[in-house]
Amino acid sequence: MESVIALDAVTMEFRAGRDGRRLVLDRVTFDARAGEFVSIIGPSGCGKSTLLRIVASLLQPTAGSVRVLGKPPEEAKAQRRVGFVFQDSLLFPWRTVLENVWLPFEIGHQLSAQTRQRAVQLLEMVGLGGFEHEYPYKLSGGMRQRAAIVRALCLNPQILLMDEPFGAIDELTRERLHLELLDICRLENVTTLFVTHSIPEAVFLSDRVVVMHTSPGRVAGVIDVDLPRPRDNNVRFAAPFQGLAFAVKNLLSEGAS
Amino acid sequence: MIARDTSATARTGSRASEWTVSVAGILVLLVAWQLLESVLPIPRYILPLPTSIVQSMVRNAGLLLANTWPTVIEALGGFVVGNWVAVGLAVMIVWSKTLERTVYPIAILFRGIPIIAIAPIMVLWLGNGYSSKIAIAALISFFPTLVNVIKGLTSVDHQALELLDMFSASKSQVFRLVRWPYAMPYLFAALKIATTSSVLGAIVGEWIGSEQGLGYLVILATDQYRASLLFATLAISTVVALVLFGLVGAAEHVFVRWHEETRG
Ligand SMILES: Nc1ncnc2c1ncn2[C@@H]1O[C@H](COP(=O)(O)OP(=O)(O)O)[C@@H](O)[C@H]1O
Ligand SMILES: [Mg+2]
Repeated sequence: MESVIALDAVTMEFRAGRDGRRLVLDRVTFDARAGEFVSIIGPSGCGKSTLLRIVASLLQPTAGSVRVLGKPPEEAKAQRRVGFVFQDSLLFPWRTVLENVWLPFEIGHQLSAQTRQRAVQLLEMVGLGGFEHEYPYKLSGGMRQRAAIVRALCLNPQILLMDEPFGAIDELTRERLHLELLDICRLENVTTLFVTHSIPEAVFLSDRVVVMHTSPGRVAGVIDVDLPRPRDNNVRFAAPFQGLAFAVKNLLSEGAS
Repeated sequence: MIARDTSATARTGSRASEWTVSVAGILVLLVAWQLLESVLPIPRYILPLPTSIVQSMVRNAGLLLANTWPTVIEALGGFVVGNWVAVGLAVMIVWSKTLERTVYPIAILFRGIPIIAIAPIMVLWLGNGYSSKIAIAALISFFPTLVNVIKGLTSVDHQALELLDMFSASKSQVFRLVRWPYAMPYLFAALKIATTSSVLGAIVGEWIGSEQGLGYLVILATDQYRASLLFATLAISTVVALVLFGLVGAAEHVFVRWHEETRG
């Protein structure tokens, strides 16, 4: 299968101090194929967010090559093929949920009865039907993150980038969000790069887990998650899941020693 | 919904009782003033009785009113001009890096000049009429608004800018959709300051050169040792500033309701 996202020896240095440089990503190489769900896991500060920003073309790498849908990432962004979900939902408090969700249509001068309908439908799909006209402060953290995902998806992107989107959400809500996310990614047919520091989250969601080590951030290995789909919450208690989680943990802790 | 309605009623209820408490506090102060002064040997020409201030207000109602309008016009004119220019300049400065490096330092430099010291120059340049007072009131309102709006426009969460970047938003869309709403609470904080300071600016301008206005009346009453009239004029000036403040507060309530609600 073709690579939808391909990183080859991506290296990132940040300026540090007066004329020092800090190597944050060291020759990161991996790819994601069409429709795949790939998680990136690693200790805090290993450059996961930086990596995602490079794929989103919010940052330019110091060296290495990035291809998104076979193009330079800035082209993919300009064609609005890439959706981004941050850890904070970033819903604007002065806009209703629906107004927040159709923001990308508004920016693209695409507001129409049709696009509004799409925003409403997506909201209904994630259980936010009836909350369209509420302001964000009335929503729980989980509901806000659902709205943020809908906002990222409403332009029909082919790629969804998520940076610890459920980091601040309680465990029970998070498990429900996992199921909803898998559903929506399948229905919308997106390729997903998902940053997390939770091992069970990475294993449960992914087709593959990219494990990173830190100082400098680098790929320690990629673990294939061959659990059947669709997955339900019972998968979490079965032996294969536990085995994979253990493998991820071992690979992670190699870097910590 | 029912729960929400009762809480809203409770809130307005408590707001009303807060008002009652504030008004009662002022009344108590006035009564205490009146009683204490009746006992203590304070000369009336230094501190008049509250009742005689009220009497003076009634007796001089025509004089007071005739001198209130010029001050209101000057303060309002200065408020509008000063804030308008400040907001426009703030947007331009945040928009353009070059302006930020050139105009902003100059603005900060000018901020250091005491406005009171500029007031005579304004009268010298613009004459004794309205325009010199409007200019002083405008100058005095200008800097807090400029600084605050710049702060607001640049206070935007970095990730919110990245989010708009992902949607390929233009610079003007970033301003309209994110920076401007973010700046609104900052703008209103500055406008509230500007209400009292524009009245101050107008009065200071009238002290320096004018044949009308509350500032002129202050000088007149002082020269003629009319302490009750002087205090009555002060009271009216305070009311003018408070009314302006109240109007801005009401506008804020309409335009930045989300900010109050987000803070709970
Ligand atoms: N814009 C930047 N300038 C300088 N250093 C940065 C910048 N962004 C991130 N870093 C540094 O790069 C490292 C990796 O950051 P990040 O990608 O946020 O890690 P993670 O998301 O894995 O926690 C951190 O040490 C951080 O301080
Ligand atoms: Mg991060």
